[in-house]
Amino acid sequence: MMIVLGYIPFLQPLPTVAHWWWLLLIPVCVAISVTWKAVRLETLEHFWRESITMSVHAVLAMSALAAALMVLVRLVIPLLSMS
Amino acid sequence: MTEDFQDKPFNIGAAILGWVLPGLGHMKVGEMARGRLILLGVGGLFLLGVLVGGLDCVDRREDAMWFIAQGGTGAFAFVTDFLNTNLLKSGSFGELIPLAVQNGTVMVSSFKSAGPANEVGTLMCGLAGMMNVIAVLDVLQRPSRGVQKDTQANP
Repeated sequence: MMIVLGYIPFLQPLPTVAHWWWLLLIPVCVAISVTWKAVRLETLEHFWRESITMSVHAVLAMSALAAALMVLVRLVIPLLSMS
Repeated sequence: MTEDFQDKPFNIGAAILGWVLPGLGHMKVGEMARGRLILLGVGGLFLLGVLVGGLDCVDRREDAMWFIAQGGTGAFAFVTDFLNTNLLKSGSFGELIPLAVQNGTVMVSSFKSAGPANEVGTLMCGLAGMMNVIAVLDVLQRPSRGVQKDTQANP
């Protein structure tokens, strides 16, 4: 609690981020999508729809990869070592 | 193919401006909305990285390899490194505390970041730099169009 109260934004690292750092995947995907679509789209008519779609795809793909790795590490590899 | 390159001269000035401040190159060639969106994406990602990791996540001397990527954001990276050197590493903010290393002891800022905060912040600033390199390469081949009306998306 004392660490959070004494926190100075931008000068010090964000406290407690070690517990929820993986949630930062979402703003990272949004920022990358916004920049990528701003560069790639011919016109900016459907910019926000395209950016949000790309962000959702990226987050879902990374989540699926994480889930697949978890299954591999926690279920498949222990079975291999037992056999 | 060769004729295409001859017809479209590289926009060196816009590319340099785009490196100095993300999005400025696109604004220079008349793509104001596109430039603002690039500034929002690259600048937002970089500032989020500094917010998470603190000023210490951009360090030209201690994290030189990371700084190659972070330097893609131009002024953002160099100003942050300057502030890190002159505010944190000089002891102006926080205090300098001894840290035992292999060859003895070094003095480090009490605001020095470590662990996931430092890793994620450093990564975000590096990603921002690499995204801006893509934007700079894009504006390098973009013809000047004057101020135009591509403002359907206003950030």
